[in-house]
Amino acid sequence: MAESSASSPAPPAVVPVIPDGAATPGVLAVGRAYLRQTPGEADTAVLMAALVADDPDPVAAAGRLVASDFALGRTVELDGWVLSVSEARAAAVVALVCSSEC
Amino acid sequence: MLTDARSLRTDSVLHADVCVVGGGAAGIILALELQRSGLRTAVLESGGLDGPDPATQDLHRGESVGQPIRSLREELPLEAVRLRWLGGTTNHWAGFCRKLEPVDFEPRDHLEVSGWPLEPGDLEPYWQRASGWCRITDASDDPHEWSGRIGLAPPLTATRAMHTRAFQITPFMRFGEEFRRDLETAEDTEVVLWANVVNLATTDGRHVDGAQVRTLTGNRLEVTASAYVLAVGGLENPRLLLASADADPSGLGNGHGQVGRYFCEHLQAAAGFGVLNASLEELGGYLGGEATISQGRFAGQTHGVKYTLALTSDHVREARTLGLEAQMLADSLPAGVPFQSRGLAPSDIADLIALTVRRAPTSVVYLQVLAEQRLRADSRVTLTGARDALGMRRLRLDWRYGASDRAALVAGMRTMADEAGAAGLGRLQVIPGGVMVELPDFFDPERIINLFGVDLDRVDERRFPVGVGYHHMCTTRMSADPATGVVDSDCRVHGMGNLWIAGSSVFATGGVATPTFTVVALAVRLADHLRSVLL
Repeated sequence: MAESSASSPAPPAVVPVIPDGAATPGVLAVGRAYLRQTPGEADTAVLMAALVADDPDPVAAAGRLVASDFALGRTVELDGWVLSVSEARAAAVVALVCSSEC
Repeated sequence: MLTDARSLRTDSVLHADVCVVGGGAAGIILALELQRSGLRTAVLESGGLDGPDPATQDLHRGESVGQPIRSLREELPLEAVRLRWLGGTTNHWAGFCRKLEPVDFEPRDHLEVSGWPLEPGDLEPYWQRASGWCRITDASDDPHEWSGRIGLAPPLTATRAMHTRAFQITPFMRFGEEFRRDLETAEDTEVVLWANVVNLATTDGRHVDGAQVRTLTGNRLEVTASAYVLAVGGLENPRLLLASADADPSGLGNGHGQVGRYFCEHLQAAAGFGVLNASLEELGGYLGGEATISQGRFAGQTHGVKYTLALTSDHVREARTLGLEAQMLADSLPAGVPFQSRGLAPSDIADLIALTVRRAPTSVVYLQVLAEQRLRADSRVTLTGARDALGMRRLRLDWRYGASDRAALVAGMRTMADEAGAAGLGRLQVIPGGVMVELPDFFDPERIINLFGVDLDRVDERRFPVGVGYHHMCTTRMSADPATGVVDSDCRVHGMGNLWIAGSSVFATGGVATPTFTVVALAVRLADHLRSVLL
């Protein structure tokens, strides 16, 4: 993985807002795979801080970062799939939130 | 004219201006190009006209002591990958034609040896002429041009590191069958069948005096000529040079110990899946199209066109890596595609992409990569002490590739995955060697299933298995310096006055493009050269 914020200082408490329909089976599967591989980020606050601190929509935040992630090598491999670390984190947020609410 | 060597009186001596050893792609095209030039050509073919003769095919048997030569499913003996009858290895040629890439010709200082003593422009007119022999339209490898010509969707967006290349595919082109009548009726060409050259006789090691021929029925013949051309493939060309030890026990043209070195292949590996923001229609060229030849010998006939994703020469140069490209098989997304892979499935990734870009990807592809191999001197053909039925020493192939080749392949796929993501094309998976445990119906399971017979749960990315293309290259490589090669830029053996070599053994680097098209181009070029030298 090219980037990790597992040891970052305490992140601001942004409450994620998950768009309707985001919790598809595939997104949940990717999110869980990311969390298994990166257990240090299994916390919505940590993930939201890594995405962007002031946008409550992790999906929108990730959408703005995907292309630059690839261009800058900020990628993560999950089962061989080369993914933007931001989209993987967004999926992880969805998986964490939706494990109880969605 | 066709002659059966077995019917000639033993100890006959045949005379020609040009003696071509081998009746495969290179030998046949060389002979056809020399027709009506005023030169008399003798082509010495080990086999007959139709199909393999087991005893003749056994002459290819040898030891393979290095990396195994594998098909997609199994390890193969050497005698199975070379074919000894008229047409040679075109008798199992898949028909893929494309020029080499610019970077293939350039010296690359991170490689042990690299670069041709030619420029791409030196070969361009010969690639054009080769297309007329290979039953394709022309030498164009530009996908934009092909999309315009035959109405395919334009290629995917190119980036600095990744672009699209176009193969032309000439199906079931068997040079022996295709050109038999041309050879049969030509008054200035004599094809001698069942004629095995076992020694190039020389007294001084600088000039071939005659090609000594044996038949499996016991005949002994000799062919004398002004010029001799070896055209028996990337394994047998060095074998015959090494076995021709009249003047030097190390063989003919081997003063610098270069004969047989730098053996390389095209590495092929299962790479993974891709999920793309393109419909099957938009992927048209990657799945294959068809073109009709408008002029020349094959006017009205059709051939295939297929695009591949490839690393650009700029990237290969700047990243100090090796060439690589990926072929696709594809089907539509989203639901119901019966793909199965380890862990996350393509449909999961499609969901992820749709989440952030608000546009669902529409196709899933399976990727197989072809990769250039790093040349190394210890990857080589030598001779064993064992002898074949004609008394000629058998060959030993010690093919070597290693972690750096595998690493370059994985790095190349990672680059493609990064580029695809950055350009918004989709997402690619990089798990070389093991991707699929269950197949959708549209794949041919005989070709693809469990691609290399590996245990998919035990695939190790650092040591994933690779297949090969039966492309035996660089064993008498072209180099301006005899210390790093066997032939000069005219394909003449360094230090030899009248001995030339044709075929992929003269390739100075292997590149990624399949070799036969360039083999034919070099044969056309050699014909021009021989005319200029001999007439």
